[in-house]
Order: sequence, then structure tokens, then C-alpha cells
Amino acid sequence: MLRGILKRTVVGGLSAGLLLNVVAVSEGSAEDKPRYAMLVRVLGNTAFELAGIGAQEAADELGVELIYTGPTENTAEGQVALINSLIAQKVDAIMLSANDATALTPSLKRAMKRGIDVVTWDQDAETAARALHIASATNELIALGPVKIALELTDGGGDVGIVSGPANSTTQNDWVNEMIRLTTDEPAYAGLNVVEVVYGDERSDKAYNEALGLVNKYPDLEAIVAYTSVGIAAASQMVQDQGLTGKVKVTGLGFPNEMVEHVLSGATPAFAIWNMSDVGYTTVYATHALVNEDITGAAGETISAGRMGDVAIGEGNVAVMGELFVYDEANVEAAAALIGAVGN
Amino acid sequence: MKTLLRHRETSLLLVIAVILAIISVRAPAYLALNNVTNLLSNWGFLIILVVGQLGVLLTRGIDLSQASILAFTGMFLALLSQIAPDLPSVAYVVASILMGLLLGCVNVLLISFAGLPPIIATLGTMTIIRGMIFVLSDGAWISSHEMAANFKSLPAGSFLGIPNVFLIAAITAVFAWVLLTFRRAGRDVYAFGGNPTAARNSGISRLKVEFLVYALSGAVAGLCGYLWAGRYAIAYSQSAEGREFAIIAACVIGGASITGGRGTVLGVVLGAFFIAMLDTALPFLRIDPFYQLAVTGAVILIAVGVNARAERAPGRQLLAPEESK
Repeated sequence: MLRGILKRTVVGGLSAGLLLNVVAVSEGSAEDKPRYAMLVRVLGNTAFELAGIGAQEAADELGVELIYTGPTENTAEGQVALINSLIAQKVDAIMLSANDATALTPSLKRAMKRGIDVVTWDQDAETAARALHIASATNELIALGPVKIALELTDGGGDVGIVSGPANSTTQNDWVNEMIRLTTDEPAYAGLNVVEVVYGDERSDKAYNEALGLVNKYPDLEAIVAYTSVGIAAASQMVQDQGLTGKVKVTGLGFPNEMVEHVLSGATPAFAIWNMSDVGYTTVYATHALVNEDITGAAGETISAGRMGDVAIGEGNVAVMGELFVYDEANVEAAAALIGAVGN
Repeated sequence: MKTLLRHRETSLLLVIAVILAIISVRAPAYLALNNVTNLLSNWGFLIILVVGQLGVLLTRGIDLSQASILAFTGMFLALLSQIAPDLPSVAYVVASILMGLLLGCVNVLLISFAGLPPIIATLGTMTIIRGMIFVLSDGAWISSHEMAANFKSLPAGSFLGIPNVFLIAAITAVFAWVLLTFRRAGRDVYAFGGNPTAARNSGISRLKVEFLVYALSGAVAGLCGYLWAGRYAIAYSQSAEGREFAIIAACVIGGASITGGRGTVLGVVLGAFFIAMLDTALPFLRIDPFYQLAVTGAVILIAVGVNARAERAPGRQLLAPEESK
């Protein structure tokens, strides 16, 4: 789904904007405080803005300076240029969500050679090109979040349709396959009967048509699980339009600010997403521990991450945050307001 | 000529009827009332866009920027509805048409004044306008709860069970039909596309014709942008991305010639139905998603092929003027 979020933010982006970023970064003050650069995949994306909030919170707690930057276009080239500029500025650490698993390797290795600690979060780079990776969640946990909600919404089971993104999206296919595996192999989720997987291609009109097709084809359909933020909104809109609220329940992955109305209307009683601000927060704590040589990033070590408690580092120097965060009518408005505040 | 056109549209109607029959047999649920309503609104969106595209195609041009104008206007109006939530629905309609018209005029500037070929000019504006949506919105979505109630009520509503989008599309189509068939300005468009040199010699202004078609194409795309954003209750930078090709396919299926001069409003409206029918039917046919695109493409080719066979008009051969009418 992140692919979807990114897709809709990649447009725009002019090289002039990129230039501006570099300039803005190089204006960073030369205080004695350690300087950590948080490099996102693309600017202007809610998910990354949230990670930035969490990171800033941790940076304030630890008394370090945070540089938040990223390319205006979702490309590896843009990130490479920024990494080079950060190396030149001699930051103490680079925390990045990698645009490309391999293309960034040379510049990241160069950064490490200059004594800059490299930590990835959200999207990993090559294992050799970073000390540690903070994963928002594993594919299994991402698939599990909406499955758990669907089970609850259908009172223990019923017919479920899945709305995915483009049919060739690897990550979304992984989540869908994992959901199918959970509902066929795991007795706890066997009550859910997946009737069909449809593909909305991250287009609201196509996702709408596909979701409407689902309810027409399967009169007993009780829930729609959408592993795409475009799809969940389109399916919810369809349910509202067709007066099916309460009969067919929509859930899946979405963002609070985009889902407020659908949650309050009852079309999507609850949905899940990884908490990006927690990811940003933990990343800064982990980076700080690395810079101070409290940890090396090896498997078996533990990051003590402030309010997040202890996070264990596992195989391949990856630390996984945990299960998805669930939003429902109790907390969605507050979360949306927070995100709205980021936007301004 | 008149009978020939009628013939062409009848053959398209037949193709549509056959495909509809196949779909209904394979998936009876396709004819459910709510799905028919959805089909009408899908059709409506396309009608609005294709009548604009038709005018452009008639002049031997092409407008690739319609979907971008649609998305930009949708975003612009969604933001407007946040700033001024008390505006009546009709104000959004007017504002969207004006915004689309303005963007269409950019195409006129590039094509008529800068002399760029339409495919290049509109390819450029297609990308630039897409990019401007990002600038306008900072990449954020405008979703349902951020839109004013008046903003959504018209596009999402219906009258006697018929979606408002379709009703507005019908009005647009009638307007375009009257303009292109009975008005001097419309006849000039046909004349210009049929033979630009002859048209110019007979006193038809190229600027006037191009201004009319590109400005109108933009205006209808803008109108569609408002309806789209309101109907799906979402405005984001990727709205309707890729639809430009569905629009052009609908026109070609409907008998509009990309070499200009030929095409009718009725034809492209049927072409739009064809595409809307495919879009809404695919979910019911359980075709592997990877094959869906191939199936869509193949069916379009067949439709165009069958349709073109019905019209093997002589003439329009540059080297054999004595054969042309």
C-alpha cells in the first residue's frame, strides 16, 4: 500500500525543488549537538511527515538536532544527491527510508566509510549498506491487522472480498496471499471465507466499480478488506452510496485523515495502519544508541526506545515494531487532527 | 454520407448489444439496478469528456490533457469548498467550467500561437498540469470529510433514479450536438478538419476553430473534474490518471477519425457507452487481472475493426482528387 501512497505523491517534483532542499539542508546550524538527518523517500507525504513528528519528539527528548529532508520526486537519484550533500555536511547519522534497495548502496557505503551511522526505516536498503533497519511491521503483521478487524466485524466469520491495488504490485500481493493463507490454514481465522480478490489499480473509479461488483456478485458478502488506501476509501464510498452501511463492512489499510468520514458513517467501523510516528521515534532512539556505541546493530541486542520500551533486534539486523495500530471512531478524529496540523 | 454515418452507428449498436448479451448470460448480476445506475454514471463521465475530445479530433488535433485538467480542477474545487463551504452547488459547476476553460486556453496558446503540434502541446500540458496538482495540494488528499456538503450533493445525487452525472452529461451532449451540427461555428470545425487549406481559403479562421475546440475540451474536462471529485468524494493527484486513452478509444470506437473531419456526437456517445460497459463488466466476468487489459484492448480493436468495415468510404485520397466527393 505504501506503493500507493507514494504513487500519488511522486508527480510534481521539479529539479528546482530538489535544489532548494539541498540549500535548505546546508543552512543547518553548526552547533555542537549531534546532527541526525532523516531522509524520507519523498516530501509532502503524510506517512513520512508523521515519521518526522515522531523523530522530532525523540530528538527533543535526546537533545539532538534533527534534519528532516527528502527529494521532491520519489526517485533513487534524488536520494543519492541528498546523501552526498549530507556526507559533505558531516552529519553524525543518516536515517533513511530507501527508495531503491540497491541503487543507494554506493553512496551509503561511502557515508559509512566516513564514520556516518546509517540506519534505514520503513523501506530497507541492502544489508551491507546500513547498520540497522527499523521495520514498521512484517508483511505477515500487515496482513494480519485487517484480518483481525474483519473477524471482529463479521462476528467470527462470513464471506469476505479483498480489494488490492495493481495486480502486479509485489507487496500488495504478499499481503493478499498472507491473508488467504491465514484464512485457510489458521483455525483462528478460518471463519473468514475469501470469495474473490479484485484489483483496483490505485484508481478510485476502478476500485469503486470492482467493489460494487463484489457486493452484486456475492449477496452474502459481509466484509471487504482493502489493502490499499485508495481502495478502502472507494469501497467505503460505494457502501455509503448503496446504503449498505452495517450490512457490508469495509476495513483494511488507510490513513486517519483520509478515513474520518467513512469511520464516522459506519462504512468502515475500524481500519489499521502502522504508526509511522512511532517508527520515526524508535529510529531516532536506535540511531542515538548506535552513535553512542551502546549497540552495534547486531541481532540479539535491544534498543531502549523511550516511551516505546525495549525493541529487540532480530535476524539481519532488523528490528520490527510490532502489530498495526487500529483506528476506530474513538480515536480517528484526534489522529486526523494531528495529521492536519502537520500539513499546515 | 448521412446514411453511411447512420449505418456506422447501427453497426456499433449491434456490437454493443451482442457484448451486453454475452455479459448478462455469463453474469446476470451485472443487470442489477445498482449496477445499471453505476454504469450510467460511468457513462456520464465519459460522455462529458468525449464530446470535448470529438471537437478536437475533428480538427485533426488531439487533447491528451483532459484527464489532467479533470484532476486539477477537481483538486482546485475541493480546496475551494474548504475555503468557502457555503457556496451553492451551481457555483462549483460554473467555477469548474471556467477553470477548465482557462486550462484549455493554455493549449490554444501553445497550439495556435506557438504553433506546436497538438500531440506535443497537450502531452506537455498533461504532465505540467498533473505536476501542478501536487504543488496545489502539497501531495495531500482531500477526502470526504474535508469537502462541503453542497460540494458533494450534486455529483452524488440523482433525479428520479437517474444519476445527476448522467443528466448533466446528456445536457452536455445535446449542447455539443446542436453546436456541431446546426451552428455555423460547429460546421466550420468540420470544414476545417476535412480540408484545412480549403477551409482557410473559404474564410474560416484557424484560430477561431482551434480556440473553440480546445477551450471547450478543457471546459468539459473541468466540469467533469468537479463531478468526479464530488462523486468519488476524493481529490488526489492521481485522479483519473490514464483515462485520456479511454477517452480517445471511445471516440475512435464511436467513429471519430483521428485524421479529422469525421465523427458525430451520437457516435462518440455510443463509443463512451462501449468503454463504460467494459469498465463496469470486467469485475463480473472474473477474468484474470493480467488478462483484463489484453481483453479490453482486443475488444476495442474488434469494435473499431467491425465498425470501420462498415464504412469503407472512397475519397479522401490525396493523390486521386477526381475520386473524392
